[in-house]
Amino acid sequence: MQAKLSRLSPGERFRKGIRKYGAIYVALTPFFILFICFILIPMIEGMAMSFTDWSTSSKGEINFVGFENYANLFSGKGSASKRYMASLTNLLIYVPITVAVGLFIALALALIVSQFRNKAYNFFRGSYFFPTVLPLFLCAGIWQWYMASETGLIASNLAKIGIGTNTIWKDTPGYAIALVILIDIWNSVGLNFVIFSTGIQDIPRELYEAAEIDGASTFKKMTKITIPLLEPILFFVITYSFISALQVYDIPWILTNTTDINAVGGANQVMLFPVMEMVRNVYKGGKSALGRAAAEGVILMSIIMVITLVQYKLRRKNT
Amino acid sequence: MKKYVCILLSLLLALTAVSALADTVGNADGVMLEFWVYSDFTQDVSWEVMKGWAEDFIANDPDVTGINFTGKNDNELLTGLMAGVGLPNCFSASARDLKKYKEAINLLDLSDIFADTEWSSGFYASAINAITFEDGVYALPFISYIPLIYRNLDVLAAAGIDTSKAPATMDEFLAQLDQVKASGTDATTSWSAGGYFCPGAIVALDADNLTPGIENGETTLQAEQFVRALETVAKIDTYANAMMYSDAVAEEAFKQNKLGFILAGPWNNPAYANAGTNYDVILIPPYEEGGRTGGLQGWDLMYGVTTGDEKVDAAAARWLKYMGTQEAEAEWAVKLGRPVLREDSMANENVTSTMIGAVSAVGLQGGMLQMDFGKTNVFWMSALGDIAPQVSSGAMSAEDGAEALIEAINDMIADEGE
Repeated sequence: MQAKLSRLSPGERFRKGIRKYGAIYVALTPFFILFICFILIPMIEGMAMSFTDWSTSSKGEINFVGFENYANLFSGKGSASKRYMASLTNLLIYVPITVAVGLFIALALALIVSQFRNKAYNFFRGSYFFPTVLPLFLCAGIWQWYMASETGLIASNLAKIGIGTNTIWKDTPGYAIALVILIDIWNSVGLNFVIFSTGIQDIPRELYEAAEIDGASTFKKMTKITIPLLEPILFFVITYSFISALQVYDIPWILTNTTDINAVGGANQVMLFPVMEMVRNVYKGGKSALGRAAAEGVILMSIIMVITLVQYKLRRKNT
Repeated sequence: MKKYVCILLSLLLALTAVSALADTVGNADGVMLEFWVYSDFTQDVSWEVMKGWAEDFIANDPDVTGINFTGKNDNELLTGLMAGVGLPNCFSASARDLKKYKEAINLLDLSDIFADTEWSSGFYASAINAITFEDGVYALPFISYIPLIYRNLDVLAAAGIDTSKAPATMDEFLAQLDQVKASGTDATTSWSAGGYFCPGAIVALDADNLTPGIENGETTLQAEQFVRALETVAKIDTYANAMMYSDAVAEEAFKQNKLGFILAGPWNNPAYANAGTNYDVILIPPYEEGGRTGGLQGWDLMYGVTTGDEKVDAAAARWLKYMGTQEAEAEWAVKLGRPVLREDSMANENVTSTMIGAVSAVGLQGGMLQMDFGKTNVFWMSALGDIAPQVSSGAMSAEDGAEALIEAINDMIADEGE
């Protein structure tokens, strides 16, 4: 068949391909049109604009400035650069903790709850998933009340054991990121928990039964059967969690909500993250603001791509 | 079933098309103004007032057939306007962005309406100065505000404070904070946390000693001009609880007699009034008796956009002039409890008979402007929001904080390229 195909002229090969796969291409066309119009072109345009002094002024000219926006962002000079560097530092603290702690809790809950059956299983699954369906502004609102020092249910109890005494959590270095991590994990753990639970349910019971006959303990079954067979799901959840965490925006934006656009991210940028700084540049407007925002977007995209690629490589190596 | 859904959808489409056509035909000879306003202008009392004005204006202006109000928040307004596509005829926005708007879009020159001195002489001189450029006048002065100290009179009375008069000096105020704290109730919220609002109010007490401006890409302000203000904020914070002035929980604490003083804006007044709290408002006390007070003034302006169609532009200018009348701004001040930028409206006895109106009218005389509106894009006060908490926490001295503040302001100037 291979030899026969290779003797066909390019035109014949094309026609044959169309006859064979035409319907599939037609079915995929809407996706490609939408992908090109709303993802590919804006992405390329955004990358191109990061090399310009694009401002929000509709009267202003757009000039090519090469890597100036990138250089300025990493120069450490000017408030925009200092803010961006602070946002990257915060991200460096936030991402590993959120992903690791969030996944650990979700997996632990899934492993525990999967031991239950029927009503108990459904009850716990519903309960843990509930925060995920709440709008984020509501989550942030609820936690602002919980974490109000002196009067907040959680903050006041933490203060009793010496954590955050007389502290405004959302305004204090360290505590502010802890607050974002807390809310984010509370909100997102339910989704990861449900994904893990579903994966655990799909593992054939026979494997456990065989292990039980061989005298395996619950811990052994967990480490030798459940977790290895959950690997594809774990990989997906880890990748997805990293991508979500790197783009953290809404919770800290709500927590530091202000009419002063320069104050986004709180005092001394205690709760500032790259996407927030990007959006701030867009809203603030002014000289090179959109070019700078585009550059910040490209940098973040590159970070996400690198981390995702590393994860793929590591997975391929391990499997 | 599918058939009925299909018919329903077709009918809806046809209705939409017919109404759009009718709209176009109906407005062929008249002007339909598009007015972008803050979202809260389209709600509750604000909307009742705005709607009343619009109905009255349309009834008396033969050229205008309607005004379409579209509510937008600050950021939406800024980005929507500066994108420069599908601009409205008029919009309301913060005075902080006046220079940006002037540079980015073709604002409507309102020189003609301001030539009517009988009408224009009623505005505060500082407001007229801000909106006047070499080539014209580009906004209508509308709302203003100053920070107000809300005093919970029950808490103060329980602490043994004579509430019949306001503290005459900052030292007296500090003594009262101490008295409230000693009585076992929280005296106030943090004045360093939550952005520039509270520390800015204290800096404004030194307005006569400040030298704001930009020369050779650097601020003309001097570090030593801020030392006293940063020290004062730190002193106030020694009596503060761990809440920010803007926290909902702080508002609740005040309503429930668990907080003596809270610095807030006039927009907070309805919440306290509706809760039945026994309170009043005072200005930030000056350092010396009879000294400068008033805090920081924030402004919101109304703008027009040039369309190139003289008839439309003239209608937009007339609408702006209507909203800027003494009666209209006074009505706004009374019904909304928000100070306005017409001095004659603020002097109106209906305004001065309200608690917020009376105190604000005095405060607006001495309050310092948040920034040099219309002349710069650098809102340097916001740098205070980063520095004040560090001084209050003891992480840096007031002197070091003042130096850091100047550095931060210079960074902002560098970013704006001014």
